[in-house]
Amino acid sequence: MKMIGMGCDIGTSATKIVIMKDGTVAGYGVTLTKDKPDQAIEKFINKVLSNTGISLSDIKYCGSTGWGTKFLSLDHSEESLIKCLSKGAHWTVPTARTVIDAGGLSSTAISVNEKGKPMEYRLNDKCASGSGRFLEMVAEALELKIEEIGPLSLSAKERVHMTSQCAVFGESEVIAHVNAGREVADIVAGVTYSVGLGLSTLVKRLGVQRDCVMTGGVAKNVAVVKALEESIGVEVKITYFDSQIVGAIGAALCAQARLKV
Amino acid sequence: MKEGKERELLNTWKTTMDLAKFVLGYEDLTSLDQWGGREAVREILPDEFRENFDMIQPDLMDTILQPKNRRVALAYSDSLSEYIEFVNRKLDERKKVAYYYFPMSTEIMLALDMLPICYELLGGISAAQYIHGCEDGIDRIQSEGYPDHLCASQKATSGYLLMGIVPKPDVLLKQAWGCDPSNRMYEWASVTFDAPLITFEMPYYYNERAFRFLVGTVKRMIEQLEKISGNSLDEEKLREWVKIGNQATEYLLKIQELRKEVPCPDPAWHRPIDTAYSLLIGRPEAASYFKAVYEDAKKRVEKGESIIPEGKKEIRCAWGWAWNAYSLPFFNWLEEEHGATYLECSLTYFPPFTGLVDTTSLDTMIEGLAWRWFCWPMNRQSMSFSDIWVNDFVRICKEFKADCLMLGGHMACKHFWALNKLLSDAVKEEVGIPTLRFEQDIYDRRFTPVSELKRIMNTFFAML
Amino acid sequence: MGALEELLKLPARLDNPYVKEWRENVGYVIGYVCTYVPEEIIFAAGMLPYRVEARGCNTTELADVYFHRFNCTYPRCILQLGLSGDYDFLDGFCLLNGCEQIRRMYEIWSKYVKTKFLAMVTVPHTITEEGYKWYRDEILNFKESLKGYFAAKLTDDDLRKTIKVYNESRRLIARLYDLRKSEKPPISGTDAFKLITAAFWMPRDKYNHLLKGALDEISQREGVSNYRARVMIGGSACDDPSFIELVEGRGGLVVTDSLCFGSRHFFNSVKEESDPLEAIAKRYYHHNPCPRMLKEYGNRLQFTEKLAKEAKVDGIIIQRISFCDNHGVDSPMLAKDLEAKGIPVLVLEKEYMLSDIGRLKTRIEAFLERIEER
Repeated sequence: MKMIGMGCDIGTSATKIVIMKDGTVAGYGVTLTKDKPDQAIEKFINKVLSNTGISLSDIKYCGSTGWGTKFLSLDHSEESLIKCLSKGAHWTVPTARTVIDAGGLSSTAISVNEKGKPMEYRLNDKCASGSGRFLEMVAEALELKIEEIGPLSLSAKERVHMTSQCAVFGESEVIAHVNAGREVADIVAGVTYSVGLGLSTLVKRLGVQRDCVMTGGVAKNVAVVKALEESIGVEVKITYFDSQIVGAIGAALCAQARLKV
Repeated sequence: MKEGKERELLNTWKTTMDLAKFVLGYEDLTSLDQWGGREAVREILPDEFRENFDMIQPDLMDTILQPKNRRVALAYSDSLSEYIEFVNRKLDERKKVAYYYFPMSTEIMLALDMLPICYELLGGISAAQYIHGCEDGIDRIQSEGYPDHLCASQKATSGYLLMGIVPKPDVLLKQAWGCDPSNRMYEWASVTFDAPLITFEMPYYYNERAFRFLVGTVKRMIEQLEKISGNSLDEEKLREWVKIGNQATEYLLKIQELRKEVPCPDPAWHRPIDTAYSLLIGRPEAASYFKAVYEDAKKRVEKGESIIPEGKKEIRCAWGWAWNAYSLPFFNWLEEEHGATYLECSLTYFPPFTGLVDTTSLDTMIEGLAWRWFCWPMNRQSMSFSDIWVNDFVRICKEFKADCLMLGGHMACKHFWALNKLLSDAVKEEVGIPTLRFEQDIYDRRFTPVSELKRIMNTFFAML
Repeated sequence: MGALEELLKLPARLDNPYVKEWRENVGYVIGYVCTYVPEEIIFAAGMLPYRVEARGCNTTELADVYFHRFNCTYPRCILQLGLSGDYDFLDGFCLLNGCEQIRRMYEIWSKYVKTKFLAMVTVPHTITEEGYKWYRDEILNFKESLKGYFAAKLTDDDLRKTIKVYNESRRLIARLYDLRKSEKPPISGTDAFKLITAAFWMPRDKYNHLLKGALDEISQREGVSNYRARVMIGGSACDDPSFIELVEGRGGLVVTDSLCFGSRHFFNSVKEESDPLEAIAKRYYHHNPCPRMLKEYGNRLQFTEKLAKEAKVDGIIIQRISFCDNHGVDSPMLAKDLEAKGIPVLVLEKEYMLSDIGRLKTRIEAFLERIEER
């Protein structure tokens, strides 16, 4: 059955659109959430659709989640982010029982059951350190591209020790290390290590159960993933599809489930 | 209206109570919109109420006008008015003002003809009623260099004392158990206002030995209070007050049993008020308030009426820390929006073995009062090893058939935060229900605004 | 290595040769927190008392699973070390209901850190006659359970001998404080702190011997004279000299303190009277208290002022750890009253571990500028 649908995850940092067709991801796009979200989102949806060769009228269902859902003018069902992350992660990795989402501004650890239903979760949304935005800040301060942070960290000889528990002080600490002449690789290694450690604390507060799956933009950072893995002592799986679109996949799945009823 | 800057806060409350009773007097009025909205209602009000009306949280008015909430709202207003009148009378008579820490009742102070004022009550009522809450008091004490991580329940009153808008203490009474923030603020108040600080405590264990120690310190407290008040503790007088205190306690314990019914018949927004009146146990106002709450809930059970809207499934919540005082409408919203009822919390739960005070003799009464304070909510959970808190809540979750555990931890309650995982782990293991953990400040809305609270709740209930 | 050098360079925990040696050849090591735990009882039972510290702890990710961001970093760091296995060398751990946060460590430690013997000694929050009796019974119970659990011998004579040893340390340490009162103190505050705190982490009789030698060495010295101002340190639990080092790095000279790892632990001797347990109980119950004790503010103010005047201090720096309620309220109260008496005070908020050094340096610098003109 050629069921075609859309999932949207409109976060404060990034907007993710996914087109689902025949039970798989037919196309997707990730872009920065802009100032005039409603117009920008519509434009972006059209772009993703045209890349996929699917037209808007083909879309039979649409689920949306995230902060910016209110800006979506297209007919859609509003879905809870926790549910979307759970369902999306479980769909991509059916053995997932702990989902760790590390996004732009916040991180969430969710325990899911064998059906992908969320059972409990812990949030870290009061603090920016350990978020994607913090890593972007550090990249900018060091004049690096965000994609370079991970691999560069892995090449470090002597990881710098980051003491700051706070993103604001963290940035000034990074600059202090630069002024002290520390190697850039060592500095980013220190940053990614502390981000990974922060995530591991969050997961441990929830309780770790295999398999662990990490989602969100920060999951693309190999050094953070490695630090997290070492700390929780369990392999952290990254989804086959772009880790940032898991929430949007989940939104599509939630919307599709409503159709069957 | 009684003059004097030190009566300013209480006089403001008095006007609010008169206004509430005035509005509640219109039995067909169920929301401000019915009369054209807030502005329109303001125009209709008698002059003396307008300024006060502007200060009151808008959604609070609508909450108390709801048919299911009216009766207790009226009882609250009547009782608080009576208490304020009592305070004014005693101030006129120049009675000694005894500021006391909340986990105790007022009988002994009343029998000694003193004026009992609970330190923590002052900020709480203001937080619940007004748009500006008790922020002025909090900001004032913080501007003196005191840390923001202290408990707002003391910060607010400390600020009010500096501002001079509440009566000065002649003596401070403190249950000196393991709550450092409160201990420190009472010490500050004692030094700053040159008022003696009298303490009583049970040092860390929850057993016979500790209870005996407590009784000893209570007797020492009475000796000191006799000197300060200039009266000796008369057995007959004490008996009168203890009997009134017993009335309130009896209703309170009965209400707790009713909360076990499915659906829970006791609205959530009552809980902060219950705590407020429990610390006034001994006063007739507390007895009449709890009587009203009991009868309200009982009637619902008898008639098979529900506090949650038709068609909503009840989600029974045990609150492992407790409420906040700054938005009573928020707790009402939980029921209306999500069918989420509020069972017990660590600020309302008296274990059933609290019982009543034996009025046979002076000794049985002193011991009985000490026993009640030994069982007091928050006191019981905080003053000893974590087992008590953890076991209490595992039991509450089972007996009250909770669907989830809410841990809205107060930011200043540090020892709670140190045991929070032990609590949620035990509940998950033994009862199999999930926990929602979030931060709030018990009196200061700025820490976690209501919109944020709602967002947190929406996310959690969507998961359930 | 001379006595002075040995004490100054004493490593932490299991790297400490005395602790290692004790474990291998002598007996059990019993950790404890707070100044109310009667060390004499532990030492008299033939065990090494080790005041639990968190020096060198610079990460808290294990403790953060249980503690929250509102919890003070001091018990958090201790818990971190416990969970990391750094305190596996303890055979026993005696906790105290000192402050609200440290007492909760008992529950988490008992569940997740495998220390054989755990005890809790409790102290009421005020100094009264009945409070004394309670405390004395508590330490009696502690003594009995320690004896019982480890099948240890502990007689009143053992206690009397140990009291003598501990009183000797108190006398020697008091001498060290006296030496620092002079215009040219023979030793920096950083080094003095290291000398003093070494007492917590080695057998006391050996310590006394080394300290005597160290005192001889330093009393020969010229003394420090090129300092900007004489400073006293007060405030939250501080087991590490790095903060003092920071102050002295800016040119201040720390000549005395009111810290619980410093003067408040070592002043006040045990009266050598007939019933040694009572004597110990009296001394510990009545010693200079931390602000967790209620109704003792006046005494603390007096104690602080006395120390400041005797050491001719130009100013006091009170460092309070974030979320430490006891010192959080005590410090502005003391600051107000001491300033009114003409003693400048700087209240500085910090974490237990030294971080955010730039801000601390700036504040210290500004304070030294203010007080050096006096």
